[in-house]
Amino acid sequence: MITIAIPTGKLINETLDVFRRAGFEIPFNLDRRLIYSIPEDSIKIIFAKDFDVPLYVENGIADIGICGKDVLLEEKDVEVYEIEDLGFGKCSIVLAGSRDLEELESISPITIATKYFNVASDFLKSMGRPFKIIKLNGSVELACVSGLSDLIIDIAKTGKTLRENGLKILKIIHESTARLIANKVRYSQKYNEIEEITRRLKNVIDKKISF
Amino acid sequence: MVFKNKFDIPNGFRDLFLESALKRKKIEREIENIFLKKGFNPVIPPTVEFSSVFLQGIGEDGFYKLLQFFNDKGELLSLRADLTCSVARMVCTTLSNLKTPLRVYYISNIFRKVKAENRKFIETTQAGIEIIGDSSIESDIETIELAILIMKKLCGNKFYIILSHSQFLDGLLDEINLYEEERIKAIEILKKRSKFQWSNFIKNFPSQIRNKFDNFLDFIGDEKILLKGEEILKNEKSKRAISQLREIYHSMGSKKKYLLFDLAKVKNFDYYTGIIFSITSPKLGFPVGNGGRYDELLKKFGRDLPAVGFSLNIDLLEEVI
Repeated sequence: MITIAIPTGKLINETLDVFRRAGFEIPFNLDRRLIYSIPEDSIKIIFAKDFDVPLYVENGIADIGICGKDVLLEEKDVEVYEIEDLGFGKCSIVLAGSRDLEELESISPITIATKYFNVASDFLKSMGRPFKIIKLNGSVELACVSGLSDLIIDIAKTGKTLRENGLKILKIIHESTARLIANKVRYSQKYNEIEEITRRLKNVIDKKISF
Repeated sequence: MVFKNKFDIPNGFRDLFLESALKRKKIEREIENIFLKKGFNPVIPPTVEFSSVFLQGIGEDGFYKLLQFFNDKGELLSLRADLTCSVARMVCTTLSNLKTPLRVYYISNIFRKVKAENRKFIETTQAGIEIIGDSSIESDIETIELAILIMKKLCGNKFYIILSHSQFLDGLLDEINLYEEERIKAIEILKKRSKFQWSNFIKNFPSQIRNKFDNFLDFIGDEKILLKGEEILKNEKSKRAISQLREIYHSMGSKKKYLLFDLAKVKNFDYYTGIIFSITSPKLGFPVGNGGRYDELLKKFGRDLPAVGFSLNIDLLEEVI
């Protein structure tokens, strides 16, 4: 039996779709339960918030999990194996704002709002100018539009939300895709079962990409 | 008064009482009895050492986990963060006239910074042994057998020893002849067990290397894995590592069933130079103990002595018993 942590956020539909196409009997009428046993496939799935998936895996509550590279970059202290790049869920962590960077040169320290505190502070240190970070929990665009911050660092898929709020991408900081992560102890103990699941998922993904 | 109502305990620490304290004491007693019966002598190093003692052993990453402060002379001190370092230091300073081999054990607390909100504690208790001044494979075997004996006593049949060898990986990295920077990158990738990054990494190497090392990350499993490792790696270091692992395996008799091999494992402490093992339970996502051979550590404290040992994390053991 392998327990798999699945993120309830932006990756959920693609994740479930990949699992279903790989032949896992995941029900279509999912209700609000957070744990499902799927005895046909000897798996159990648990639904966790995107940023909590690494933690559930690190603690061994889940043997493996799916989460975005953006989450792994932010939760860098969580110790898990990053075994496979699943390729879907492409997005970027970007620096965005309503004005160009040159126009903001006179502002010091520059204020950046973000959900990704660690990623933002690593990036801003490399920019070589004084900065201030405001940690938010979502709708980060609002900070910039309302004047709480000069810039934001946030996830962008197509850039549509940014554009609709009058913001533009100034710099791409990291590219991100969905990753398959594993608990370090369980990976050794259940290697063959985990490998089998990985292989089935990879088959589906490789096929889709070659279309 | 800022501190007026601060009578609770700081994050990352806890009180043990009644059942939890009784359980702790019972586990410690059982382990201690086995250590004594097997001829190990207790050592009790101080709770505080110079920070440099731990830096010798746990490296730069470990440095950030130390709880440090200055004494009145301005010297940098740290709460004990690793018992192997303390014992090694003790053997080379206080006990420098004692004849080896030495067989010692400890049951003491250590302190490492953690993110306390992730249900981890800063203060944990470790019970372990060190055999110092013996480089023989028999002392490796004795160490692993002792770990198995204790786990059997405490957990019945529900545990695995995951056995690796630091020289196997070293030999592999020597064989592909990497620049220092590339080597660091390779280790980073192997630490994360990232197959896609590994294939990407070796993509630019000549095809004979590529074919050889493509499935290197699959070397996890029972003793048949040793054969696979032997087939692809021809360098002396890796070959010696495999033959040691095989010798250990064959000496284990009925205890063989507790062993799993993981040849691609990157050592979790810088100081390991030979066998490495983690003691794991199917009930827990963290190893309940770690061990291995560290022949270069004592040299840093002034005595060139080989050593091997392991320690169990009592706090984690409590969760699986």
